[in-house]
Amino acid sequence: MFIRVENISFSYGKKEVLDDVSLSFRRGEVVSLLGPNGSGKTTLLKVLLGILKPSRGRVLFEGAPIVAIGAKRFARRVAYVPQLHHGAFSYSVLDVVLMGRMPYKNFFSRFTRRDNEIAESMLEKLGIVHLKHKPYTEISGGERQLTLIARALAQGADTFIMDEPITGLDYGNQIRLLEQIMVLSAEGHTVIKSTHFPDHALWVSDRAVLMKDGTVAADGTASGEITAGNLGKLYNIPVRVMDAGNGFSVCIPSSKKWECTCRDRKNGPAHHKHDCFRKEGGETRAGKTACSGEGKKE
Amino acid sequence: MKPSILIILCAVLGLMCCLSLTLGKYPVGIGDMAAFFLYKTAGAGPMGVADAELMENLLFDIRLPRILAAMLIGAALSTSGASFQALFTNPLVSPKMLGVLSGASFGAVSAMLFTRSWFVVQASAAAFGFIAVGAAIGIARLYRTDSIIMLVLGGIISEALFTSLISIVKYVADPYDDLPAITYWLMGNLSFVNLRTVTIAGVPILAGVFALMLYGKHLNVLSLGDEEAHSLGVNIRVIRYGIIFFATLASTLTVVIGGMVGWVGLIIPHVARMLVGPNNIILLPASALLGAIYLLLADGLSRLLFSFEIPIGIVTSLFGIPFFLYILRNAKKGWS
Repeated sequence: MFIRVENISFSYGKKEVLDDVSLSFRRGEVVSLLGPNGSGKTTLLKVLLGILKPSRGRVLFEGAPIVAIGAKRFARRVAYVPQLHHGAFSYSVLDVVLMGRMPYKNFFSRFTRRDNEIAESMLEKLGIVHLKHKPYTEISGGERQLTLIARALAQGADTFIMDEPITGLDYGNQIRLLEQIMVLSAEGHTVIKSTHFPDHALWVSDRAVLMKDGTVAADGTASGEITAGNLGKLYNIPVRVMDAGNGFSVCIPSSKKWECTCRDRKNGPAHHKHDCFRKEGGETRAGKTACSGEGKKE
Repeated sequence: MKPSILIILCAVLGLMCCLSLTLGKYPVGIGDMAAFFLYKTAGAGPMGVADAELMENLLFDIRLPRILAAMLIGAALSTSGASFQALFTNPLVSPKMLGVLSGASFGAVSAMLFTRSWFVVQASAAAFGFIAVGAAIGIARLYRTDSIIMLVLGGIISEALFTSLISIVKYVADPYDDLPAITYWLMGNLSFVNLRTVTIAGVPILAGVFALMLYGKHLNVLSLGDEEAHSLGVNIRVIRYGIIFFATLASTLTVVIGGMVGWVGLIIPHVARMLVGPNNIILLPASALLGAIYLLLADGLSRLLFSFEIPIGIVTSLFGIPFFLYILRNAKKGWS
């Protein structure tokens, strides 16, 4: 096994966030962690990175406990791509990527021309080399996320741990970021990420780990675990997973409210027994009267 | 392009140094200085022995210590300020964040109550600077976390503690003798400076300033927050406490030399950021140079503005405020 999580527990004060979690990750797989807010996804990622020390259990990287691996050596293998953030200082994009060379530096050494070349080549690889002198705080969210991926690549890491990399990006950048994850995976990198989008997990990941209340609720192939039943239990909301063709699946909400059968029917009086949502003539209607007037008796 | 700014700053600083040597009640022109230089090096030239002795006294015993003191204080406070701003990921932080200036001031003024020995006062100032920072860290550690927020809180408490201790000292001080001396000293001034103090305090100050400069790339990473710094292989604790130690060393010794000099450590890093950008690898040397220039300027003003000398701490704050207002308008790019 590449990375093994053995019986990890973690608590913030009295609140137990992870409760005896055991998982293992294979080299080269893309794993999505899914789960409601507060289910322990982010905590698990931080434990994997050694940022948080678990109260029980341990994390093994290639068989060695991560606490026994030097911080620099670990950083050359495992990189962290944090959630979208605004820095306090407007470092240039190139400076941010250069920080990825820190694990190769001792206290006195300076960044060399080679470090610069590596940083630039990573920016080139991600198609944002034209931004290298721009302040990191003034580029778009998608570009910032690509910059952080470039930094992770400059670290020389083969494992990427990403905390909700999609969150905060516009639609186009979301898709572009997913494409980037596919490219990383095709190159043999391991990607472990948390996400709030079951669709995205279906599209790009080999494996899905569903977390609830600090435990693993389900763990298996993405298509095997991201099902209507599992998502329903995980988020307490009825969901349908539909085949969209080309091997693609999409998730849509499936409660009666959303799937009101009367919305297409033009004739007959309305006799609604349930609440429904309806967009009509620029108005949003919700509740028992949403389909009033034209609906047919059910 | 950016390293050339450092060279320009060096040149400006050198020029300001020479200019400052000519400033004062007794007029010394550039020509006099050149003649004196010729006398000292070649033993010849137009200057006579008596004049040369006067010049020696004026330049080496009176003016040079002041100039060195001003440059050391400016460089130390600006570098510490820039370091703390990155360390606390907050551009509004200044070197006194962890209570070092209040602590050192308390050390000095409380010693003034008991002794007339200038050396004891200075040693007490240096020691209490470290004690105040130690107290801040101790308070933060009470809660068993390494979080920067707790450190900020510890610093606020420590500073408040030593500020109120200073008030106690003022309250009990003899109002005719000690109190004026204490008050005057707390304003920050360079008129008591002598060459011995400057050399004794100057060496560790420079060591602190240069050590902080070596931390440039670490400060960049730390300013992204602990989690990212950790994931980039940085030993946060060792690096952070190292930076705090050297910043405290440099800052507490500025109090030893010149009392409490405010505002420099807050504004100069912003000016430097406007010139060279936020990258701490170049920002720290730029801050040091700019801080030295700013304090030379302030010292010149404090001597020339009126027929009597006003404490330099007043000048740095009074001129610092409008300066800061102007910078705030322009510096948004530096730290939005």
